[in-house]
Amino acid sequence: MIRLENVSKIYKGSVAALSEVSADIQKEEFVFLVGPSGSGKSTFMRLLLKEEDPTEGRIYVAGKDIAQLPNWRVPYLRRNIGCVFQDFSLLSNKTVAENVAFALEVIGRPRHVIHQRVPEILDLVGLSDKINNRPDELSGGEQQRVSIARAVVNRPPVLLADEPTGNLDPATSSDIMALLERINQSGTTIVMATHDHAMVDQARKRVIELEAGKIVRDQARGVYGMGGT
Amino acid sequence: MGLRVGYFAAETFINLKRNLLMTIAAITTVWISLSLLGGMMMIGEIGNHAFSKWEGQVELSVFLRDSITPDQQKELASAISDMPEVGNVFFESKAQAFEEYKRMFEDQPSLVQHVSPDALPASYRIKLKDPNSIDAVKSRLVGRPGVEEVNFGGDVVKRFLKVAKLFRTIFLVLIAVLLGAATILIANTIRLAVYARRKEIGIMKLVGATNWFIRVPFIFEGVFEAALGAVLATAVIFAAKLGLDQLQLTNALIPVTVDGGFVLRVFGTLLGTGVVIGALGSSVALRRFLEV
Repeated sequence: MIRLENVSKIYKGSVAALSEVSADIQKEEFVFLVGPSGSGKSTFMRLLLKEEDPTEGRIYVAGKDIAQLPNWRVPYLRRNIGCVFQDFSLLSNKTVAENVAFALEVIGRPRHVIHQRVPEILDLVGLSDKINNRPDELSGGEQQRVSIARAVVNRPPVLLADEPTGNLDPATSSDIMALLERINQSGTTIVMATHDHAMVDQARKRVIELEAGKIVRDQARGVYGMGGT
Repeated sequence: MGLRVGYFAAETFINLKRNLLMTIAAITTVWISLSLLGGMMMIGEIGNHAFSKWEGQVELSVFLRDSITPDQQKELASAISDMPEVGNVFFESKAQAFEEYKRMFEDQPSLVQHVSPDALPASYRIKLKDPNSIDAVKSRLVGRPGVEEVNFGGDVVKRFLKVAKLFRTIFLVLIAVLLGAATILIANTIRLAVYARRKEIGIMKLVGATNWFIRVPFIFEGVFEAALGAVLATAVIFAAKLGLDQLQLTNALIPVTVDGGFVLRVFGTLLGTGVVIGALGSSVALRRFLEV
Protein backbone atom coordinates (compact mmCIF):
# COMPACT_ATOMS: atom_id res chain seq x y z
CA MET A 1 0.00 0.00 0.00
CA ILE A 2 2.84 2.37 0.94
CA ARG A 3 6.44 1.84 -0.08
CA LEU A 4 9.43 4.07 0.51
CA GLU A 5 12.64 3.31 -1.34
CA ASN A 6 15.80 4.98 -0.05
CA VAL A 7 13.95 8.18 0.69
CA SER A 8 15.97 11.18 1.86
CA LYS A 9 14.69 14.62 2.63
CA ILE A 10 17.20 17.38 3.14
CA TYR A 11 15.92 20.87 3.88
CA LYS A 12 18.01 23.70 2.52
CA GLY A 13 20.94 24.53 4.75
CA SER A 14 20.05 21.89 7.28
CA VAL A 15 20.76 18.29 8.19
CA ALA A 16 18.79 15.50 6.64
CA ALA A 17 15.29 15.20 8.11
CA LEU A 18 15.13 11.73 6.63
CA SER A 19 17.99 9.77 5.17
CA GLU A 20 17.81 6.56 3.18
CA VAL A 21 14.53 5.48 4.63
CA SER A 22 13.00 2.35 3.15
CA ALA A 23 9.82 0.77 4.36
CA ASP A 24 7.04 -1.33 2.97
CA ILE A 25 3.63 -1.05 4.56
CA GLN A 26 1.07 -3.62 3.52
CA LYS A 27 -2.59 -3.15 2.91
CA GLU A 28 -4.62 -3.26 6.13
CA GLU A 29 -1.53 -3.00 8.30
CA PHE A 30 -1.40 -0.87 11.45
CA VAL A 31 1.98 0.75 11.93
CA PHE A 32 3.26 2.90 14.78
CA LEU A 33 5.85 5.48 13.88
CA VAL A 34 7.83 6.31 17.00
CA GLY A 35 10.87 8.34 17.87
CA PRO A 36 11.82 11.56 19.62
CA SER A 37 10.75 14.98 18.37
CA GLY A 38 12.71 15.95 15.31
CA SER A 39 13.42 12.35 14.35
CA GLY A 40 11.58 12.75 11.08
CA LYS A 41 8.08 11.41 11.86
CA SER A 42 6.33 14.53 10.60
CA THR A 43 8.46 14.67 7.48
CA PHE A 44 7.56 11.03 6.84
CA MET A 45 3.85 11.93 6.97
CA ARG A 46 4.25 15.06 4.88
CA LEU A 47 6.02 13.17 2.13
CA LEU A 48 3.19 10.64 1.95
CA LEU A 49 0.72 13.49 1.46
CA LYS A 50 3.00 15.08 -1.10
CA GLU A 51 3.05 18.28 0.88
CA GLU A 52 6.73 18.06 0.09
CA ASP A 53 8.80 16.06 -2.36
CA PRO A 54 11.70 13.87 -1.26
CA THR A 55 15.20 15.04 -2.14
CA GLU A 56 16.00 11.49 -3.18
CA GLY A 57 14.26 8.17 -3.42
CA ARG A 58 10.85 7.00 -4.47
CA ILE A 59 7.55 6.86 -2.67
CA TYR A 60 4.70 4.66 -3.82
CA VAL A 61 1.20 5.03 -2.51
CA ALA A 62 -1.31 2.46 -3.77
CA GLY A 63 1.20 1.40 -6.39
CA LYS A 64 1.75 4.87 -7.80
CA ASP A 65 5.02 6.77 -7.70
CA ILE A 66 3.81 10.00 -6.16
CA ALA A 67 6.90 11.96 -7.20
CA GLN A 68 5.64 11.59 -10.77
CA LEU A 69 2.28 12.98 -9.81
CA PRO A 70 1.59 16.39 -11.36
CA ASN A 71 0.45 19.07 -8.93
CA TRP A 72 -3.10 19.11 -10.19
CA ARG A 73 -3.42 15.39 -9.37
CA VAL A 74 -2.34 15.87 -5.74
CA PRO A 75 -5.90 16.50 -4.48
CA TYR A 76 -6.88 13.10 -5.88
CA LEU A 77 -3.98 11.46 -4.03
CA ARG A 78 -5.18 13.06 -0.82
CA ARG A 79 -8.67 11.69 -1.30
CA ASN A 80 -7.06 8.29 -0.73
CA ILE A 81 -5.40 9.34 2.51
CA GLY A 82 -7.34 10.41 5.56
CA CYS A 83 -5.56 12.57 8.12
CA VAL A 84 -5.93 13.04 11.84
CA PHE A 85 -3.88 15.50 13.89
CA GLN A 86 -3.08 16.21 17.48
CA ASP A 87 -4.99 19.52 17.38
CA PHE A 88 -8.17 18.03 15.79
CA SER A 89 -8.26 20.80 13.15
CA LEU A 90 -12.01 21.21 13.25
CA LEU A 91 -13.84 24.25 11.96
CA SER A 92 -15.32 25.94 15.00
CA ASN A 93 -18.09 27.66 13.07
CA LYS A 94 -19.53 24.40 11.76
CA THR A 95 -21.43 21.75 13.64
CA VAL A 96 -20.13 18.21 14.05
CA ALA A 97 -22.20 16.98 11.11
CA GLU A 98 -21.16 19.93 8.98
CA ASN A 99 -17.50 19.39 9.75
CA VAL A 100 -17.74 15.82 8.55
CA ALA A 101 -19.95 16.69 5.57
CA PHE A 102 -17.46 19.38 4.58
CA ALA A 103 -14.88 16.75 3.66
CA LEU A 104 -17.33 15.23 1.19
CA GLU A 105 -18.73 18.50 -0.11
CA VAL A 106 -15.38 19.95 -1.08
CA ILE A 107 -14.53 16.93 -3.19
CA GLY A 108 -17.83 17.29 -4.97
CA ARG A 109 -19.72 14.29 -3.57
CA PRO A 110 -23.43 14.36 -4.38
CA ARG A 111 -25.79 15.36 -1.63
CA HIS A 112 -27.50 12.00 -1.25
CA VAL A 113 -24.12 10.38 -0.56
CA ILE A 114 -23.39 13.01 2.07
CA HIS A 115 -26.79 12.55 3.71
CA GLN A 116 -26.21 8.83 3.92
CA ARG A 117 -22.54 8.68 4.95
CA VAL A 118 -22.33 11.42 7.56
CA PRO A 119 -24.82 9.90 10.05
CA GLU A 120 -23.36 6.47 9.35
CA ILE A 121 -19.83 7.48 10.19
CA LEU A 122 -20.86 9.55 13.21
CA ASP A 123 -22.66 6.51 14.48
CA LEU A 124 -19.47 4.47 14.01
CA VAL A 125 -17.41 6.90 16.10
CA GLY A 126 -20.18 7.05 18.70
CA LEU A 127 -21.28 10.66 18.28
CA SER A 128 -24.81 10.20 16.98
CA ASP A 129 -26.17 12.31 19.81
CA LYS A 130 -23.82 15.24 19.16
CA ILE A 131 -24.31 15.85 15.46
CA ASN A 132 -25.64 19.38 15.93
CA ASN A 133 -23.11 20.49 18.54
CA ARG A 134 -20.21 22.73 17.72
CA PRO A 135 -16.64 21.56 18.40
CA ASP A 136 -16.18 23.87 21.40
CA GLU A 137 -19.12 22.14 23.10
CA LEU A 138 -17.32 18.79 22.95
CA SER A 139 -14.61 17.19 25.05
CA GLY A 140 -11.15 16.64 23.55
CA GLY A 141 -11.85 12.97 22.97
CA GLU A 142 -15.12 13.76 21.24
CA GLN A 143 -13.44 16.34 19.05
CA GLN A 144 -10.85 13.80 18.01
CA ARG A 145 -13.65 11.39 17.14
CA VAL A 146 -15.16 14.02 14.86
CA SER A 147 -11.76 14.52 13.30
CA ILE A 148 -11.42 10.77 12.72
CA ALA A 149 -14.93 10.61 11.29
CA ARG A 150 -14.01 13.37 8.87
CA ALA A 151 -10.82 11.56 7.89
CA VAL A 152 -12.54 8.28 7.05
CA VAL A 153 -15.95 9.42 5.82
CA ASN A 154 -14.69 9.21 2.24
CA ARG A 155 -13.47 5.65 2.94
CA PRO A 156 -9.84 6.25 2.11
CA PRO A 157 -7.62 3.13 1.94
CA VAL A 158 -5.00 4.87 4.13
CA LEU A 159 -5.32 6.80 7.37
CA LEU A 160 -2.43 8.87 8.70
CA ALA A 161 -2.65 9.86 12.35
CA ASP A 162 -0.10 12.32 13.68
CA GLU A 163 -0.07 12.20 17.50
CA PRO A 164 -3.85 11.71 17.62
CA THR A 165 -3.79 11.21 21.37
CA GLY A 166 -1.18 13.84 22.17
CA ASN A 167 -3.72 16.14 23.81
CA LEU A 168 -5.80 13.49 25.54
CA ASP A 169 -5.77 11.79 28.93
CA PRO A 170 -4.92 8.06 29.06
CA ALA A 171 -8.49 6.78 29.35
CA THR A 172 -9.66 8.87 26.41
CA SER A 173 -6.57 7.85 24.48
CA SER A 174 -7.48 4.19 24.88
CA ASP A 175 -10.94 4.90 23.49
CA ILE A 176 -9.43 6.64 20.47
CA MET A 177 -6.99 3.78 20.01
CA ALA A 178 -9.84 1.27 20.14
CA LEU A 179 -11.67 3.29 17.51
CA LEU A 180 -8.61 3.37 15.25
CA GLU A 181 -8.18 -0.39 15.63
CA ARG A 182 -11.78 -0.88 14.64
CA ILE A 183 -11.23 1.26 11.53
CA ASN A 184 -8.09 -0.74 10.79
CA GLN A 185 -10.03 -3.99 11.08
CA SER A 186 -12.51 -2.76 8.53
CA GLY A 187 -9.64 -2.67 6.01
CA THR A 188 -7.98 0.73 6.35
CA THR A 189 -4.20 0.89 6.44
CA ILE A 190 -3.15 3.07 9.39
CA VAL A 191 0.13 4.84 10.02
CA MET A 192 0.19 6.49 13.43
CA ALA A 193 2.97 8.67 14.75
CA THR A 194 2.96 8.75 18.51
CA HIS A 195 4.84 9.39 21.74
CA ASP A 196 2.46 7.32 23.79
CA HIS A 197 4.55 4.47 25.26
CA ALA A 198 1.74 2.73 27.05
CA MET A 199 -0.43 2.61 23.99
CA VAL A 200 2.26 1.20 21.76
CA ASP A 201 3.32 -1.37 24.32
CA GLN A 202 -0.22 -2.51 24.84
CA ALA A 203 -1.25 -2.66 21.17
CA ARG A 204 1.59 -4.88 20.02
CA LYS A 205 1.53 -3.68 16.43
CA ARG A 206 4.33 -3.15 13.99
CA VAL A 207 6.65 -0.39 15.18
CA ILE A 208 8.94 1.69 12.99
CA GLU A 209 11.35 3.73 15.07
CA LEU A 210 13.05 6.75 13.63
CA GLU A 211 16.06 8.49 15.05
CA ALA A 212 17.76 11.46 13.43
CA GLY A 213 16.07 10.69 10.16
CA LYS A 214 17.01 7.02 10.01
CA ILE A 215 14.98 3.91 10.65
CA VAL A 216 16.66 2.29 13.64
CA ARG A 217 14.06 -0.40 14.17
CA ASP A 218 11.25 -1.97 12.20
CA GLN A 219 9.65 -4.66 14.27
CA ALA A 220 6.46 -6.62 14.05
CA ARG A 221 4.44 -6.71 17.29
CA GLY A 222 6.88 -4.28 18.86
CA VAL A 223 6.90 -2.09 21.93
CA TYR A 224 7.71 1.62 22.19
CA GLY A 225 11.27 1.51 23.48
CA MET A 226 13.79 -1.26 23.23
CA GLY A 227 16.08 -1.42 26.24
CA GLY A 228 18.27 1.65 26.28
CA THR A 229 16.61 3.73 23.58
CA MET B 1 -22.55 20.47 -12.52
CA GLY B 2 -25.90 21.89 -11.49
CA LEU B 3 -25.32 20.46 -8.08
CA ARG B 4 -21.92 22.10 -7.84
CA VAL B 5 -23.27 25.52 -8.75
CA GLY B 6 -25.75 24.94 -5.95
CA TYR B 7 -22.90 24.07 -3.60
CA PHE B 8 -20.87 27.12 -4.63
CA ALA B 9 -23.83 29.48 -4.28
CA ALA B 10 -24.81 28.02 -0.91
CA GLU B 11 -21.23 27.98 0.35
CA THR B 12 -20.72 31.57 -0.80
CA PHE B 13 -23.73 32.87 1.07
CA ILE B 14 -23.13 30.74 4.15
CA ASN B 15 -19.60 32.12 4.30
CA LEU B 16 -20.77 35.66 3.73
CA LYS B 17 -23.18 35.24 6.60
CA ARG B 18 -20.78 33.46 8.92
CA ASN B 19 -18.04 35.96 8.32
CA LEU B 20 -20.50 38.80 8.55
CA LEU B 21 -18.05 41.29 10.06
CA MET B 22 -15.46 40.53 7.40
CA THR B 23 -18.14 40.80 4.74
CA ILE B 24 -19.30 44.16 6.05
CA ALA B 25 -15.70 45.37 6.25
CA ALA B 26 -15.05 44.31 2.66
CA ILE B 27 -18.25 45.85 1.31
CA THR B 28 -17.61 49.07 3.21
CA THR B 29 -14.05 49.24 1.90
CA VAL B 30 -15.23 48.76 -1.66
CA TRP B 31 -18.03 51.24 -1.11
CA ILE B 32 -15.77 53.99 0.24
CA SER B 33 -12.98 53.43 -2.27
CA LEU B 34 -15.33 53.38 -5.20
CA SER B 35 -17.31 56.37 -3.89
CA LEU B 36 -14.07 58.35 -3.81
CA LEU B 37 -13.25 57.16 -7.29
CA GLY B 38 -16.73 57.98 -8.55
CA GLY B 39 -16.66 61.36 -6.81
CA MET B 40 -13.37 62.16 -8.47
CA MET B 41 -14.78 61.12 -11.83
CA MET B 42 -17.76 63.38 -11.17
CA ILE B 43 -15.68 66.43 -10.30
CA GLY B 44 -13.57 65.73 -13.36
CA GLU B 45 -16.67 65.47 -15.53
CA ILE B 46 -18.10 68.73 -14.22
CA GLY B 47 -14.80 70.55 -14.69
CA ASN B 48 -14.31 69.04 -18.09
CA HIS B 49 -17.80 70.06 -19.10
CA ALA B 50 -17.27 73.64 -17.95
CA PHE B 51 -13.92 73.89 -19.69
CA SER B 52 -15.39 72.42 -22.86
CA LYS B 53 -18.12 74.99 -22.79
CA TRP B 54 -15.65 77.81 -22.33
CA GLU B 55 -13.34 76.38 -24.93
CA GLY B 56 -16.24 76.20 -27.33
CA GLN B 57 -16.54 79.93 -27.02
CA VAL B 58 -12.97 80.53 -28.13
CA GLU B 59 -13.29 82.20 -31.50
CA LEU B 60 -10.92 83.34 -34.17
CA SER B 61 -11.86 86.52 -36.02
CA VAL B 62 -10.50 87.07 -39.51
CA PHE B 63 -11.03 90.73 -40.41
CA LEU B 64 -11.18 91.52 -44.12
CA ARG B 65 -9.75 94.53 -45.90
CA ASP B 66 -12.32 96.71 -47.54
CA SER B 67 -10.32 96.29 -50.73
CA ILE B 68 -10.82 92.51 -50.87
CA THR B 69 -12.06 91.29 -54.24
CA PRO B 70 -14.96 88.85 -54.50
CA ASP B 71 -12.54 86.25 -55.93
CA GLN B 72 -10.11 86.67 -53.03
CA GLN B 73 -12.98 86.42 -50.58
CA LYS B 74 -14.31 83.28 -52.22
CA GLU B 75 -10.89 81.71 -52.12
CA LEU B 76 -10.41 82.69 -48.47
CA ALA B 77 -13.81 81.30 -47.53
CA SER B 78 -13.08 77.95 -49.12
CA ALA B 79 -9.56 77.90 -47.64
CA ILE B 80 -11.04 78.36 -44.18
CA SER B 81 -13.74 75.75 -44.53
CA ASP B 82 -11.21 73.26 -45.99
CA MET B 83 -9.05 73.37 -42.89
CA PRO B 84 -9.61 70.19 -40.88
CA GLU B 85 -9.37 72.04 -37.56
CA VAL B 86 -12.25 74.36 -38.38
CA GLY B 87 -15.60 73.56 -36.89
CA ASN B 88 -18.00 76.34 -37.57
CA VAL B 89 -17.60 79.44 -39.76
CA PHE B 90 -19.80 82.44 -39.63
CA PHE B 91 -19.51 85.41 -41.98
CA GLU B 92 -20.25 88.83 -40.54
CA SER B 93 -20.76 91.49 -43.19
CA LYS B 94 -19.97 95.19 -42.65
CA ALA B 95 -23.67 95.88 -42.14
CA GLN B 96 -24.01 93.09 -39.58
CA ALA B 97 -20.89 94.34 -37.81
CA PHE B 98 -22.43 97.78 -37.56
CA GLU B 99 -25.69 96.39 -36.22
CA GLU B 100 -23.78 94.43 -33.60
CA TYR B 101 -21.79 97.55 -32.74
CA LYS B 102 -24.96 99.58 -32.36
CA ARG B 103 -26.45 96.91 -30.13
CA MET B 104 -23.34 96.78 -27.93
CA PHE B 105 -23.26 100.52 -27.39
CA GLU B 106 -26.92 101.38 -27.43
CA ASP B 107 -26.60 103.19 -24.09
CA GLN B 108 -23.90 105.41 -25.51
CA PRO B 109 -25.42 107.07 -28.58
CA SER B 110 -22.41 109.39 -28.99
CA LEU B 111 -20.18 106.43 -29.78
CA VAL B 112 -22.61 105.20 -32.36
CA GLN B 113 -23.13 108.64 -33.91
CA HIS B 114 -19.46 109.08 -34.76
CA VAL B 115 -19.10 105.76 -36.54
CA SER B 116 -20.29 105.46 -40.09
CA PRO B 117 -22.04 102.18 -41.08
CA ASP B 118 -19.11 101.63 -43.40
CA ALA B 119 -16.31 101.96 -40.83
CA LEU B 120 -16.38 98.44 -39.36
CA PRO B 121 -14.70 95.61 -41.27
CA ALA B 122 -16.41 92.46 -42.41
CA SER B 123 -15.06 89.30 -40.83
CA TYR B 124 -15.11 85.51 -40.67
CA ARG B 125 -15.78 84.17 -37.19
CA ILE B 126 -14.23 80.74 -36.82
CA LYS B 127 -15.01 78.19 -34.13
CA LEU B 128 -12.41 75.47 -33.90
CA LYS B 129 -12.94 71.77 -33.26
CA ASP B 130 -9.93 71.79 -31.00
CA PRO B 131 -9.21 75.17 -29.46
CA ASN B 132 -5.57 74.18 -28.99
CA SER B 133 -5.00 74.46 -32.74
CA ILE B 134 -5.76 78.18 -32.61
CA ASP B 135 -2.16 79.27 -33.19
CA ALA B 136 -1.66 76.99 -36.17
CA VAL B 137 -4.86 78.14 -37.84
CA LYS B 138 -4.05 81.75 -37.19
CA SER B 139 -0.60 81.53 -38.72
CA ARG B 140 -2.02 80.01 -41.89
CA LEU B 141 -4.48 82.89 -42.32
CA VAL B 142 -2.28 85.85 -41.49
CA GLY B 143 -0.99 87.59 -44.59
CA ARG B 144 -3.41 86.06 -47.05
CA PRO B 145 -4.57 88.49 -49.72
CA GLY B 146 -7.45 90.56 -48.44
CA VAL B 147 -6.90 89.66 -44.79
CA GLU B 148 -6.40 92.68 -42.57
CA GLU B 149 -5.94 91.03 -39.22
CA VAL B 150 -6.48 87.70 -37.45
CA ASN B 151 -7.47 87.96 -33.85
CA PHE B 152 -8.43 86.00 -30.81
CA GLY B 153 -8.41 86.63 -27.12
CA GLY B 154 -4.64 86.21 -27.22
CA ASP B 155 -2.74 85.44 -24.04
CA VAL B 156 -5.85 85.13 -21.92
CA VAL B 157 -7.21 82.45 -24.17
CA LYS B 158 -3.87 80.66 -24.34
CA ARG B 159 -3.50 80.71 -20.59
CA PHE B 160 -7.02 79.46 -20.21
CA LEU B 161 -6.34 76.61 -22.60
CA LYS B 162 -3.25 75.69 -20.62
CA VAL B 163 -5.23 75.64 -17.38
CA ALA B 164 -7.86 73.44 -18.99
CA LYS B 165 -5.20 71.01 -20.17
CA LEU B 166 -3.52 70.96 -16.76
CA PHE B 167 -6.86 70.39 -15.07
CA ARG B 168 -7.55 67.38 -17.24
CA THR B 169 -4.10 65.91 -16.71
CA ILE B 170 -4.30 66.36 -12.95
CA PHE B 171 -7.67 64.68 -12.85
CA LEU B 172 -6.53 61.76 -14.92
CA VAL B 173 -3.60 61.29 -12.56
CA LEU B 174 -5.82 61.62 -9.49
CA ILE B 175 -8.26 59.07 -10.86
CA ALA B 176 -5.42 56.69 -11.64
CA VAL B 177 -4.05 57.13 -8.11
CA LEU B 178 -7.47 56.53 -6.56
CA LEU B 179 -7.99 53.49 -8.74
CA GLY B 180 -4.67 52.14 -7.51
CA ALA B 181 -5.54 52.94 -3.90
CA ALA B 182 -8.94 51.30 -4.27
CA THR B 183 -7.31 48.20 -5.74
CA ILE B 184 -4.83 47.92 -2.88
CA LEU B 185 -7.49 48.53 -0.22
CA ILE B 186 -9.88 46.00 -1.65
CA ALA B 187 -7.18 43.40 -2.28
CA ASN B 188 -5.95 43.87 1.29
CA THR B 189 -9.41 43.39 2.74
CA ILE B 190 -9.84 40.22 0.75
CA ARG B 191 -6.44 39.03 1.89
CA LEU B 192 -7.53 39.52 5.49
CA ALA B 193 -10.71 37.58 4.83
CA VAL B 194 -8.75 34.76 3.23
CA TYR B 195 -6.22 34.80 6.04
CA ALA B 196 -9.01 34.56 8.60
CA ARG B 197 -10.06 31.34 6.90
CA ARG B 198 -6.68 29.77 6.29
CA LYS B 199 -7.58 26.86 8.54
CA GLU B 200 -10.61 26.10 6.44
CA ILE B 201 -8.49 26.26 3.31
CA GLY B 202 -5.92 23.97 4.91
CA ILE B 203 -8.59 21.38 5.71
CA MET B 204 -10.03 21.62 2.22
CA LYS B 205 -6.61 20.90 0.77
CA LEU B 206 -6.04 18.06 3.18
CA VAL B 207 -9.21 16.21 2.31
CA GLY B 208 -8.41 16.56 -1.37
CA ALA B 209 -10.43 19.52 -2.62
CA THR B 210 -9.08 20.75 -5.93
CA ASN B 211 -7.74 24.28 -6.07
CA TRP B 212 -10.64 25.43 -8.22
CA PHE B 213 -13.09 24.01 -5.76
CA ILE B 214 -11.42 26.05 -3.02
CA ARG B 215 -11.05 29.15 -5.12
CA VAL B 216 -14.50 29.51 -6.62
CA PRO B 217 -16.46 30.37 -3.44
CA PHE B 218 -13.83 32.97 -2.52
CA ILE B 219 -14.03 34.51 -5.97
CA PHE B 220 -17.83 34.53 -5.81
CA GLU B 221 -17.59 36.26 -2.45
CA GLY B 222 -15.11 38.84 -3.71
CA VAL B 223 -17.27 39.55 -6.73
CA PHE B 224 -20.45 39.74 -4.69
CA GLU B 225 -18.90 42.12 -2.16
CA ALA B 226 -17.39 44.26 -4.89
CA ALA B 227 -20.65 44.43 -6.83
CA LEU B 228 -22.61 45.43 -3.75
CA GLY B 229 -19.98 48.05 -2.90
CA ALA B 230 -20.18 49.40 -6.45
CA VAL B 231 -23.97 49.66 -6.26
CA LEU B 232 -23.72 51.55 -2.97
CA ALA B 233 -21.00 53.83 -4.36
CA THR B 234 -23.15 54.59 -7.39
CA ALA B 235 -26.01 55.44 -5.06
CA VAL B 236 -23.71 57.99 -3.40
CA ILE B 237 -22.83 59.49 -6.78
CA PHE B 238 -26.47 59.57 -7.78
CA ALA B 239 -27.39 61.31 -4.51
CA ALA B 240 -24.62 63.85 -5.19
CA LYS B 241 -26.03 64.42 -8.66
CA LEU B 242 -29.51 65.01 -7.26
CA GLY B 243 -28.04 67.44 -4.73
CA LEU B 244 -26.25 69.34 -7.47
CA ASP B 245 -29.39 69.38 -9.59
CA GLN B 246 -31.08 71.19 -6.71
CA LEU B 247 -28.32 73.81 -6.56
CA GLN B 248 -28.49 74.23 -10.30
CA LEU B 249 -31.83 76.05 -9.92
CA THR B 250 -30.10 79.03 -8.36
CA ASN B 251 -26.83 78.91 -10.26
CA ALA B 252 -27.22 78.58 -14.00
CA LEU B 253 -23.96 80.20 -15.05
CA ILE B 254 -22.11 76.97 -15.67
CA PRO B 255 -23.68 73.50 -15.57
CA VAL B 256 -22.44 72.25 -12.20
CA THR B 257 -23.95 68.81 -12.55
CA VAL B 258 -23.82 65.65 -14.57
CA ASP B 259 -26.46 63.91 -16.61
CA GLY B 260 -28.02 60.49 -16.09
CA GLY B 261 -25.81 59.00 -18.77
CA PHE B 262 -22.76 59.94 -16.74
CA VAL B 263 -24.16 58.22 -13.65
CA LEU B 264 -24.71 55.10 -15.74
CA ARG B 265 -21.16 55.29 -17.06
CA VAL B 266 -19.85 55.70 -13.51
CA PHE B 267 -21.90 52.70 -12.45
CA GLY B 268 -20.43 50.65 -15.28
CA THR B 269 -16.90 51.73 -14.43
CA LEU B 270 -17.26 51.15 -10.70
CA LEU B 271 -18.97 47.80 -11.16
CA GLY B 272 -16.35 46.69 -13.66
CA THR B 273 -13.50 47.91 -11.50
CA GLY B 274 -14.94 46.38 -8.36
CA VAL B 275 -15.74 43.01 -9.89
CA VAL B 276 -12.36 42.70 -11.56
CA ILE B 277 -10.55 43.70 -8.38
CA GLY B 278 -12.75 41.41 -6.29
CA ALA B 279 -12.13 38.40 -8.50
CA LEU B 280 -8.44 39.06 -9.05
CA GLY B 281 -7.89 40.04 -5.42
CA SER B 282 -9.43 36.79 -4.21
CA SER B 283 -7.36 34.65 -6.54
CA VAL B 284 -4.15 36.48 -5.75
CA ALA B 285 -4.81 36.40 -2.01
CA LEU B 286 -5.46 32.67 -2.22
CA ARG B 287 -2.38 31.84 -4.20
CA ARG B 288 0.03 31.33 -1.37
CA PHE B 289 -2.49 29.17 0.45
CA LEU B 290 -3.04 26.97 -2.54
CA GLU B 291 0.53 25.92 -3.11
CA VAL B 292 0.77 22.17 -2.84
